[in-house]
Amino acid sequence: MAQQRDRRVNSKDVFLNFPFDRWYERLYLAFIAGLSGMGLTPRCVLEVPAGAANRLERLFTLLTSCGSLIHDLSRVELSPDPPRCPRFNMPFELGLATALTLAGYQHRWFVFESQPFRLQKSLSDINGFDPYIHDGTPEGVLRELGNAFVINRSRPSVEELIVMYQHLKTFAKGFKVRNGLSELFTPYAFQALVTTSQEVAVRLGIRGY
Amino acid sequence: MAYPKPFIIKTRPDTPEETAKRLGLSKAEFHKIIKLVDEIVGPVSPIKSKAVHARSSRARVSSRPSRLPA
Repeated sequence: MAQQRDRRVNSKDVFLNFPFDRWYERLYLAFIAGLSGMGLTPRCVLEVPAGAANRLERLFTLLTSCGSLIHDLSRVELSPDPPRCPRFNMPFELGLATALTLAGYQHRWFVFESQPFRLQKSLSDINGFDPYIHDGTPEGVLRELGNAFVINRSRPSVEELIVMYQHLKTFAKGFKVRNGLSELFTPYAFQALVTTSQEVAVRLGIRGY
Repeated sequence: MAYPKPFIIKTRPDTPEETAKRLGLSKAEFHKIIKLVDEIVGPVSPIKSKAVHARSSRARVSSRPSRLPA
């Protein structure tokens, strides 16, 4: 019974698969702001405790519960800190997502990249699926989210989503200072950012209830 | 090659409180974050209210029977 409940898909939940590095922080905020502005709920592996023995199983449960999965492969490269090694987590989670689709799970997955045609070279197995190219900018992320998702309510414009992103950026800066954080890739920061962006969306009147 | 078909979302968005609960935040933590939003972000002016009001007032005017001045 518990397993059945875990497998229930929430079409509003969007799993975000992205790198946890400070260079990516602006895009991380843009994804959270954009999805929240569209009435969706960002979910992330940060919700799964890092030390949990059944981490992979819990990650899988989270993946299967989300109606959509976004995989940003724009920074699949050598990590900046030693020992330098390629980042396999993002392609690995994309692999899990495609396996779910092939196994008949009802969800959609999207691949985001910063450069056109690079994915065809780095991951030719998924040739046939065009990635959404965000140019490595928050504006690009917000634009491409609008291309990926269609909402049957009043659709926020990219300009409106940029206003949301700016408010979230202001909050993130203050949140870091108040909590003595050097980065925002922690479970509590993720929860706070998602809650804040949803609250800001309501206050801006971007989405109706 | 083509983009995948856009994914159409038809359901009502969760409220911030519902979202916070699903993400595992307690009610107290939710209110703490909302207080932080008030302190850090400050007042936020709605960007859609003008358009909504304009639309609704137009609708009211058009449905009202016309009256000539006395």
